[in-house]
Amino acid sequence: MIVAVAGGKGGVGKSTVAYNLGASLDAAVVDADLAMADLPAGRGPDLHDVLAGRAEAREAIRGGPVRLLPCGRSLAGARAAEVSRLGDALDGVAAECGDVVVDCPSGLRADAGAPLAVADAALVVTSPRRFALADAVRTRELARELGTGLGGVVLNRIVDDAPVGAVERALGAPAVVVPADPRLGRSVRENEPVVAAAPDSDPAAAIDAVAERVRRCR
Amino acid sequence: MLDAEWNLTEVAEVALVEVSVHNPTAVDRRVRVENRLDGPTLPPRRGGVPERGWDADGYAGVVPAGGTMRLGFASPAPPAEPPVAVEDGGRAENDTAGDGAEDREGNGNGDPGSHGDGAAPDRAASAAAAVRLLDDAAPPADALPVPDADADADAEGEATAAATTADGARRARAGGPSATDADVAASVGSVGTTNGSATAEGAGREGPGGTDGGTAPDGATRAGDGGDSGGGGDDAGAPGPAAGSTGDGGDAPGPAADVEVPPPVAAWLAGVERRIDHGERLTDASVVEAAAVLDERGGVDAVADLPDRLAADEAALRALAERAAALAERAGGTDVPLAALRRLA
Repeated sequence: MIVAVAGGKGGVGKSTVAYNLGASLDAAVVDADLAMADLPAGRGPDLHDVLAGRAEAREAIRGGPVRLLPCGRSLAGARAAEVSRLGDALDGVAAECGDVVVDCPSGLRADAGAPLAVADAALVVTSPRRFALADAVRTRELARELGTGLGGVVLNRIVDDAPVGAVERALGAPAVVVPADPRLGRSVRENEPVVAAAPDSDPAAAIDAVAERVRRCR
Repeated sequence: MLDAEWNLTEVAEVALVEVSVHNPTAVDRRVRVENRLDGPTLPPRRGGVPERGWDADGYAGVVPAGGTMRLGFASPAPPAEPPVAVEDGGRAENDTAGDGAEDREGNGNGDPGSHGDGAAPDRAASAAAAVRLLDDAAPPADALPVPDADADADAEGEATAAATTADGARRARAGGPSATDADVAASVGSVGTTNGSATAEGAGREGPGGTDGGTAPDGATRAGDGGDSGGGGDDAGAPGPAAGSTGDGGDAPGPAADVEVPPPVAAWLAGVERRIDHGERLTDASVVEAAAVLDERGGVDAVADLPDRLAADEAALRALAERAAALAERAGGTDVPLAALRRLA
């Protein structure tokens, strides 16, 4: 099963949610943000290489606390990457790892649309930041236009009362509230998912709830 | 039931076919347009992906009731008439089937929505559909670099740039990158000056050259080699555009000082000058000097072709000098009577 984590706007926490969700689902996480990758990388072939035909998808998967297929960081790599190959690339990852969580780029262009179109379900991440909900609605519309259903909504980085009702009505799907938490904030940077680092914490419980929502989409 | 018209033009041995299909009936009708030319079908594409409805043999789609559909494709084939066969596929069901894609085997043009209905998802088709629908997201291209006439500029440029940054003293002696255009212009003017100026700076660098006493642009000429803008090893052959300004390295000689040479020419001359510089330094070189040059060029193999290239450079420069001098004469001899022409116009 392939889940695309999207959110329209930069800064809502898509990558953090995707990474931690991957840990909870024991899925492989693919960083599909071709121009501004931010999941942990290292040496070896990456998604730029896969989308340019230089490597097979399974060769680019890294082990670790979360299985990752990172993306390159160069502009040249982003230019050479053919977004239309993403379908085959994600098929390759799914064949190798089972479930796949795709961290999508922000925006509404082909680089965001391709993973949304390919996925079996979309997870839209939004936050209480201004205009984040409007962008989430646009992303949800894009997913609909591309034929991908909305598997769930994540209302992320919540500090005080969360406007859950309004978000659920706007997006037409149940929302899971994920609290703002420093352990989540540093999980990607330190390559340490919160479900492993603090399994009994509120953020871990919230991530597990998101995972449960995704499992129901099978 | 469908009225079809076609138009065939040929451009540079490629046939361009335009087809117009009109549906006068009251219901939507499917249409199949097949390429009858003896060559492959080249459909319109977006982002490299053929537009929806096209396959290797032609197009399948739906013409709305009372409407007209226009489409076109190319084929590198000899023109033939008729270039297409238009088939009426009967009444179209409503709702999704907007392109009749399910009539054909999966070919990347399927409706992406179809993968939600339990059939094995065609992910490649979905990705292609997204690319077709949405704007391209690739980062913009690099600014175009000035073409580098020196084929080994990359290796040489990197070595030179690296050598330059490591050798601060040489940079200081070079006096900055800016005078290159002036020197290049000076070099072009007459063959005689070139030898003198290039050799003189050998003396300034404690090298073996320096046979002709100093002529003015020696320090500045050095800049054409290593001192040019540190940006980009592969740009080492093009100090011209980076410099832009002229003659402010100080010692550039007389009348050519204010002339700006076109960047491609400046780039070529810079490459030539670099080779000449290496050649001179290797002529009667001390061990230290020779080692330095070999290091800059990247080994003795990189130097192996230097004598031949220098011979070619000399011939080219002499020919260029003759031609440039002749053209300068002719340019100087013209006298365009602007005032009179304005009265004519």
